[in-house]
Amino acid sequence: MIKIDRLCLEYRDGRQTIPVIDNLSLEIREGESVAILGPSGCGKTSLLYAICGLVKPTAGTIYVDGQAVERPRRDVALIFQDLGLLPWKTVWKNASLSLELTGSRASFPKLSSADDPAFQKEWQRRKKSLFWAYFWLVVTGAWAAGQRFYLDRPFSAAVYLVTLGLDLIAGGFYWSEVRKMIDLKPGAPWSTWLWGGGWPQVLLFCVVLLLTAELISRLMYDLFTMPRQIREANLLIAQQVQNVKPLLDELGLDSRFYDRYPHQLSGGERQRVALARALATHPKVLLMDEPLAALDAFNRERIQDLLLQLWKERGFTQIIVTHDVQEAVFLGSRIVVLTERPARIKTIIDNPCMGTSRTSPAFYEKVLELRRELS
Amino acid sequence: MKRLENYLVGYILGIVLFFGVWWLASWAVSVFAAKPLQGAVPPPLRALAIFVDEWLDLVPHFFASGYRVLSGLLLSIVIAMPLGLVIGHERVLDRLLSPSIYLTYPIPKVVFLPLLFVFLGIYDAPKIGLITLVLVFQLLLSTRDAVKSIPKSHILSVVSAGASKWHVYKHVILPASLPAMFSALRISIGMAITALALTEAFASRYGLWRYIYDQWSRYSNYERMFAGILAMGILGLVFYVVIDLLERWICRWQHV
Repeated sequence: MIKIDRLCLEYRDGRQTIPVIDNLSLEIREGESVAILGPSGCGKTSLLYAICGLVKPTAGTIYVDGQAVERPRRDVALIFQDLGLLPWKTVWKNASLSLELTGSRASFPKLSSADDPAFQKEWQRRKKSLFWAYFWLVVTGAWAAGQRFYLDRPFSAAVYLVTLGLDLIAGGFYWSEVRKMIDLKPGAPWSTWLWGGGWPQVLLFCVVLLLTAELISRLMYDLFTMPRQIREANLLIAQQVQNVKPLLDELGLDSRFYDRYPHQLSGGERQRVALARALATHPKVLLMDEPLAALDAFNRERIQDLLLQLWKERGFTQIIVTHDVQEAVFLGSRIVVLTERPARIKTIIDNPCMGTSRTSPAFYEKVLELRRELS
Repeated sequence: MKRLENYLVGYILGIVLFFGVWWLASWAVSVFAAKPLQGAVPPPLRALAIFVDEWLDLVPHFFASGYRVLSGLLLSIVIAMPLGLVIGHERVLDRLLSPSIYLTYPIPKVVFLPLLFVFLGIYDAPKIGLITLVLVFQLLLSTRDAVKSIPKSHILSVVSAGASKWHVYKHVILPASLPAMFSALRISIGMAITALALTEAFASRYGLWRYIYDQWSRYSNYERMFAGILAMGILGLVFYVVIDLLERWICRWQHV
């Protein structure tokens, strides 16, 4: 599934280059769960970024699903150390963000709203009201243009109508003053200000031109594009509901949470939202960068259980970077231990105790073995 | 609704406090100042009464000034906001444009007033132009800095989820810099009205500064002058309230 082939990564800091990852090769099978352990600052995060396609390696190649990684892929999801939730989006929007970004229709069963009778009815209704709106526009426009006084000044008819209305509304009590304020030739009609030459005329002309273009494009849009777009929007929303809602339910976030913002949530709840966002598109690979480091022990173990359960259900390939030995033993079917920077592979330990009870002797034994390996 | 009520109550209390201080000042002037100056600061209620009496005369001035400030404000937002977003995000553009921004920013924009009058005529255009010029830099710089201070992980998290450049702007950069933009707007209202008073000193028949200046220098009518000042205050207040409400609506996540 993932093949890392002689990966080297260097960062440039002024004149000198700092090697971060040195000649690292690793192969990860499909559906495997790999924990990567290492001292902090050894390049674990850089490794994940490279797998995700956010950082270009200096040498070597990473293959995901047989293809070399050059840019972020849809089927690889990454959860950051600080989760990367956007504070201006609600829980629902955060969770369905990746769906919205990729708009990926291919990997989901298509819903057909075209045969949906409710949709058809709605569309007929809209078409009717649209027809009347344009009818009204054309009639009033023709009437305004037909005002004899204003035939030679095409757009001032509309201005005349508007000002007439304002005059009536305001009772005409101060508009003479306002007129004096704006047009410099007292006694000239209102329209000279807008259609008497100079920059207001140019501005008005541009505005009218823009409005006309907008109107025409809208007409085209309404007649040709909207039916398709409505269908697609419905599809997208349906997909979001189809994919995000069950996921949030499974993660224990019910509809009370949907409209909250990330800063209104506790650490564990935020963690769950990040998980939902990563898993909403059904990725084949889930990369995690010390996602549970900021949680208290109780919440951490609950989310570890949740992760394990999701991994078993969905069968994605999982790489979790951590510096917590227990977490590595609980979540990794293989544990990769890295050296100090530049990161190389120190050992790879097979871990049959993955997902077993944290209190069993075998689990303890494994944790002890790993600790010995680290020191 | 409850929050709106609190909001209104706060405003009303603030206004009452303001008038209290004003009343004290006018009392002090009428008691301690030299004889001919004793009417220079009318008590607030007197000024209010005059303001109500004068309202019909003030309306065209008020609208003329409001129109200029609003146009300048909108124009500068339209120019500065996209530019600031792009400059803040694209490092190349930042390097290219920042020197010229730093060169022109410290120049008081008033020095361009003659040029504006020469090129844009003597009506509203140069006035709006000057206000725009003053505000553009303020908004541009604060937008750019806001974009620069966005945490890298916000952008990376969206990119890793498969976002295009447009998506990054739409989902991260614009919303992240909106609060900073609103506070810059709030600061710029004061600057805009200052610039407005400056430009209205030239070639204008209508405008609040024109009204105040006339009442002072032509008629020596301090009470009416204060009515004009009050109108200017109300003009600013209207802008502030509108901006506050807009911010509450647009940057909802900051107020929950």
